[in-house]
Amino acid sequence: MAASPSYLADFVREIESRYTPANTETFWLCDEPIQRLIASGVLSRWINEQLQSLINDAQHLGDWTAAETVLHRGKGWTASLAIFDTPRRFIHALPFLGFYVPLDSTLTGQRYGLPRGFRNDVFDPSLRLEPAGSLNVERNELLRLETDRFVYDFHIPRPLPVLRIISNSLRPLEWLFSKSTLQAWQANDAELSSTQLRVAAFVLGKIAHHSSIAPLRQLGSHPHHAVRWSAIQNLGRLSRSEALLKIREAVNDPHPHVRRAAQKTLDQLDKKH
Amino acid sequence: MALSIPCSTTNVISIDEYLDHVRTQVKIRDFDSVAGSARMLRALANDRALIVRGLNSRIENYLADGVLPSAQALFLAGGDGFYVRAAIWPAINDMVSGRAYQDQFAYNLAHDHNFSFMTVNHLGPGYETELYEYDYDKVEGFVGEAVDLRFVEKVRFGADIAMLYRANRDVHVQYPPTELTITVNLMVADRDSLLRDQYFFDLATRTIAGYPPELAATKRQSLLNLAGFLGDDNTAQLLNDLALRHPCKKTRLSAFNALSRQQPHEAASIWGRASADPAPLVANTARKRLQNLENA
Repeated sequence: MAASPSYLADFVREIESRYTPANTETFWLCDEPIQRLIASGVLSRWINEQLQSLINDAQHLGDWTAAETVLHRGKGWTASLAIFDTPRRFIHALPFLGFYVPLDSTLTGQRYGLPRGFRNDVFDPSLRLEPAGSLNVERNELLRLETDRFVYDFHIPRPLPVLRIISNSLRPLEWLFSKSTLQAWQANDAELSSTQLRVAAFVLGKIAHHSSIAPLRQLGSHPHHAVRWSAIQNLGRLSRSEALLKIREAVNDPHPHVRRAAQKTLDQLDKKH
Repeated sequence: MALSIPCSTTNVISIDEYLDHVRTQVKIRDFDSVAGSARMLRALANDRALIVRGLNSRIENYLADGVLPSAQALFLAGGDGFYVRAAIWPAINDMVSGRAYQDQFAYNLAHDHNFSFMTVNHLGPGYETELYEYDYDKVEGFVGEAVDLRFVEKVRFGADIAMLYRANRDVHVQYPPTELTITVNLMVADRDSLLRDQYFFDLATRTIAGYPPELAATKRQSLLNLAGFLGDDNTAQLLNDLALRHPCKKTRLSAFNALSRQQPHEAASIWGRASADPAPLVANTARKRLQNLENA
């Protein structure tokens, strides 16, 4: 975690005294320090210091990506500045809680309710968003992204700088919905690390080296259902007996897709014998 | 053209031995010196447990490595001005069946790199790659620009050769192999690469199709755009310094853009200064902006 300049330190301290990641509702207690941060005018100062670093060292790279520049990465949360300039092709059900603050003009858009029966970790293409009114967030006002209930589709008529204070991902998947039909389209891993672990399990299954049995067994208990199932499937390439143990356990997995896949695998094995 | 280097050997060395070799025997910025170390990279890739150890460790640490933001790449080790990584190339059937997500892997995308690197096969039959070359200095660098891409060859990247790609000269496009393939790469990570461009190319039209988001210039542009919107009285001077002196042409252009956003009433003067920039990308953009201002 990078150290913040002293003028951001109070803000960071205040957020961390209010937000306890284990209790996600505490995230909503962060609105006052965010408002004070905006009123203090330090965002310009922070940008100027980044520019000065670049003047001092042309090869300097801060915590910047193509999409945002990060002010601070805290314990379970991140503060960053971004420019919203390109409408997204789909409506994204975000996997984190957030405060978005438009810094230059009004942020407008549509809000949708998550459909009845929505469960983030069980993708269901039959689900459809329910319109829940329009958004109109004035400059320097805070928009609470209540992503456990709502999905947001912002209008981007012109580039707009936005302060984003977001929690880490709280849910395993980021769903995408069609803008024209509001129907669920696909779901991606919320965290790159989940994808990396699934690729690792896949490759280790292909290589089938005995030293991977223990790591794959460990991965079979990962919180993300797709990572768990990938680990179990690929464990089967290394050790039939180990995989059978895990598959039998998986029949009682909390995730329906894993339970179904495990039962199907057991049924197929029974047929073969 | 990208150099194909025969490097057949049955020797096996550890990652520590390889790092020691590169640190002591290889001048990492000297193309011939890097090429001369191909047999040692082959010997490293001959360690059949090299990738297994790395991936086991990735799982055991639940991604504490965090060095390479990619599902395709696995960081193995690094030294001053270089690092060693593995790249995972799933088979075409694994893509089609959905066992591997296509968008996580760099297939069917013609691109150059702003760093040189050498690669050998570690596992599998190897991917097919089409090789092109172009003259970086003759490219202005805007999306849609026609580029003289010269086709060199299409090769299957086999077991006993190393390929050495030259920064900002060799362009390649990889196609999925018939079976899972893993390559081991020596990456030359000199700080100068942070100032150079890198492009995606459209082979059908032989034009620049875009820039990778991980390009340093793209990240600097992100900061400079924000400065154009959120800067205060002190920002203009900083932007002006960057516009006139930063060694990366795309960064200078971003600084001029930010200045003109921050000071719209000064736009003609700002683009007038930009039109004297030595890089055609900046100067030609400036002339178009001036023209637009005159027509407005």
